[in-house]
Amino acid sequence: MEIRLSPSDGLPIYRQIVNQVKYLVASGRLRTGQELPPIRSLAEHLVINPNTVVHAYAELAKEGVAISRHGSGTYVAGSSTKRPSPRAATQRLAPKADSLVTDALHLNVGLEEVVELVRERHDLIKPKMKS
Amino acid sequence: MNASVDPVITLEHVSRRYGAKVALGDVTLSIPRGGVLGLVGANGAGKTTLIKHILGLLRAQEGRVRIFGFNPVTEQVAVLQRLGYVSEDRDLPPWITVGELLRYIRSFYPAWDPDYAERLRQQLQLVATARIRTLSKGELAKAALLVALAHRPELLVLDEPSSGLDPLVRRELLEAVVRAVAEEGRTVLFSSHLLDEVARVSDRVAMLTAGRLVLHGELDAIMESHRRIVVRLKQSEPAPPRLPGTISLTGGPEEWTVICDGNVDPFIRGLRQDGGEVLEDTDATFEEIFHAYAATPTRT
Amino acid sequence: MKMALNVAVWELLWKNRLVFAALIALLGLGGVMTFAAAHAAPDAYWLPRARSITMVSFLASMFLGFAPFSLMETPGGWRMNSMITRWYVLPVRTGLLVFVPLLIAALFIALLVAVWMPVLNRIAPGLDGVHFTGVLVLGIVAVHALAWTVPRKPSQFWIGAAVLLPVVLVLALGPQDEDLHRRRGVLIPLACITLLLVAFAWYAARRNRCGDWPGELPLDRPWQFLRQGGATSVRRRDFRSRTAALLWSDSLPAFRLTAFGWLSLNLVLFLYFSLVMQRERPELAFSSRLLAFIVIDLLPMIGLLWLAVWGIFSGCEPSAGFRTRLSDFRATLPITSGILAGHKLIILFLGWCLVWMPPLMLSNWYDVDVNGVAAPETAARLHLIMARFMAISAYLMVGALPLFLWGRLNGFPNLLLAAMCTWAFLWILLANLGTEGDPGRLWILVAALLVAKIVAAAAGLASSLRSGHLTWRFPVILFAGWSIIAAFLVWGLSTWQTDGPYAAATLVLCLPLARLAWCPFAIAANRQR
Repeated sequence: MEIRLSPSDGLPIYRQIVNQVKYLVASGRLRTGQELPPIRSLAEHLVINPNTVVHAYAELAKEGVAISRHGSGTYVAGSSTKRPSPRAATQRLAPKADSLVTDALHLNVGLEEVVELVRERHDLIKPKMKS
Repeated sequence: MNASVDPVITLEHVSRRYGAKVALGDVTLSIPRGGVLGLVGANGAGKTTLIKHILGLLRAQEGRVRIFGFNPVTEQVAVLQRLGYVSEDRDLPPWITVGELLRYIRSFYPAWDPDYAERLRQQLQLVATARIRTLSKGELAKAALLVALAHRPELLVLDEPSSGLDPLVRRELLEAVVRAVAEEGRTVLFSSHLLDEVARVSDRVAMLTAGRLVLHGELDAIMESHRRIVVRLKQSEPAPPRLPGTISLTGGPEEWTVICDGNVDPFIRGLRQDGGEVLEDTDATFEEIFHAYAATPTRT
Repeated sequence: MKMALNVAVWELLWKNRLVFAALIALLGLGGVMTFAAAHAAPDAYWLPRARSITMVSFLASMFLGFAPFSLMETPGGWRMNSMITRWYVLPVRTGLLVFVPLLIAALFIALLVAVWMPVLNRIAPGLDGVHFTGVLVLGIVAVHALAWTVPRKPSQFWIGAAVLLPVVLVLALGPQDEDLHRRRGVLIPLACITLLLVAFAWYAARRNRCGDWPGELPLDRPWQFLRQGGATSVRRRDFRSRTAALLWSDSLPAFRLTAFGWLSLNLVLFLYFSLVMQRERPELAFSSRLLAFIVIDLLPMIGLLWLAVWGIFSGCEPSAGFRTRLSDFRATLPITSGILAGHKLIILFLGWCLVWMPPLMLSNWYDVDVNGVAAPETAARLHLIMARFMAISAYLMVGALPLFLWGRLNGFPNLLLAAMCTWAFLWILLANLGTEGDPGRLWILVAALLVAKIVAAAAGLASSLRSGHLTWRFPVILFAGWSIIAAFLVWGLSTWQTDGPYAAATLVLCLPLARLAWCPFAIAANRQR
């Protein structure tokens, strides 16, 4: 499992791990049922506090991305069952949409084209997430 | 005494002056068992003075210091036996070999485990027959950490452990610290001015500015509650209205960068009422938070 | 208790195991010499030499015996030897940590004297061993207490030691008073000082666990004043050159302190000579050469002491050390080639005190006849002895250099030790050259050392001139200054007294000392191109 932490990012480290695991799951690089690295080895690998990993895994479990089986480890769950509230989802997506739109405006790419691009990417990623 | 609930380190209203200079001003801090506390602050902010109070090398002029419930000045043995310390200058006897050093140190700790010490030495890749004087700076730092960790201390105190070291050794040291925390749930107090390092390894941070504790809490919570907002005011003003939660204001006269803590909604609402607009609203990085607090020593 | 013993065993005994081996060897040497002398014919030609070898072995073992217990350790680099700070975080009770090593040191010194007593009784019958042991034990206890009193201020420790050690040595090695009560009485002031120091050390160690208690004393201001003058002396104008900036920032504080120290010391000495000595030993009181010696000695010596901390006075001395940050200054780059750091100069200063204070004091206080010369001749003899001592210690550096280097490479525990070994070595050499009958041979040796020194200085100077770090003004000003000093000395000595070789000897010896004092001016003159 490849995780890269960026300290210059404003996100807390546990949040970075959560996001990246979610990305890895979404892009199919982590499959359902696959075991996430044990807390200690991930902490040592990333040189971070083990409690941060615990926090991240707990968050992943809370968001339904992973299931923690008592005493045996943490596994990737099937497709997300628990959904964040629509408001929270919007809040999380808004900054990303902002940066996409800003870039598009700078590059003189029209809104239609951006929407088309998003649709294309969506069609590409979604089947991987299902599997 | 319930060991798992009682905090490992308790400082209550600790103050210290050197002549006219305030080294610590009314610091109240409580560190629970387990986990890593990152102590940050500019040079001369009082980090080392705080650590000296914890080690009992300084008596609190005002206030109370308790380590494991003991007074570190009068009950040094009880405190120092359960504590491992790496000083900034890694003060080790230069004439001794690494192996001899372990034999020397072990006699101070009744619960010494030779196998563990040996394993630790191998992990840190230190040669037992190497004389301390001949060690490189990185090896010296590792040797200091070895001595501090070998007796399985409940509390590990590191004063600028990675100052002046290359990234490889720094990583190795941090790995050892992470292992130590993972293994036995040690409490680690870790002072550094390398914010990147602190942000990675700590789960709590305390920040000192001019001897005062300006920020203390869980790192994740701090990171989530602090935001960086760039605003544009209707007309140029010497300073935008100072709203609750604002920690630092930079820029101007029209565009201002605000680092603020807590709920930002009232701030933004207040700004919009005055005719301003929000240009950016992002998470503040740890470095930005640090600079914001360091710039405002007297926050009420 | 076990843990405190453990500290002492590792950090005093095991660390200094070589020293103990040397002590045993010296004791053996002294024993063999005494035994041989006892069984030799009374007119055997080597008898005086055997005696002096025994004496020197004894003195050397006393210095060696003190060295491991000074609690000082070289931190490496350019800093001076300092107290072993890692002790403070060892889980040992403060009381035990302070007193167990102290007791061990005191017992050890007592034991050392005890094993030497049979030998000493042979060469100096009637020696009061109790007095002797008392002085030395009080001395080591005072040194320990001093170390614990200023645990984080090594410069203060070394200044204290420089004051303390000559006192102990004069009391220990000087002729003992005939009267038992007066003999014991001499110990009382020393005992008082020691007890006071122990109490203070105990307070300091307990107060903050050997922490920074001096920081609690409001001494910042007087210190600041002494170094920088009042608040009005803040410089507002720009510096005209880098040299001026350097002098202002590094030399002036040292200069102020040096001048202050020099004046106060001279005042004390002047009062002593004119009030006490005039009454008790009028024929010596205004021995002008004596005074000239003292004045000229003290100027660079105090300079050297402060140089040890502040660095610039011997900046021009190619073999002397100075502050590290000066090494960034281009004009002083060649001087970095000097390998002796400041703390070694303190040792030189200590060496000076040890070497020339005791004979001076002794010959003034007591009717000593040195090596069997009657009292009226003492003044003249004194000069020869002092000249010899001065020659040795002034060139101590030359001889000590290899030892220092060796110590640096092998982490020798105490540089003091190295200096003392060299001193003892040279002393043996000179004592056995038979210079009493033929002073010329002493001067040959001195001249050889002088030539070695000048060659080294000239080589350093030449390379500096070639590399462009120094300008021609530097040597010119230096030599002009020295010439003035030399001329003054020649004139002064010939006016005061005209007994030929001694005056010349004084001159030869004073020159290398006085030139140190002139160095800052030479630096100032050395403007960058």
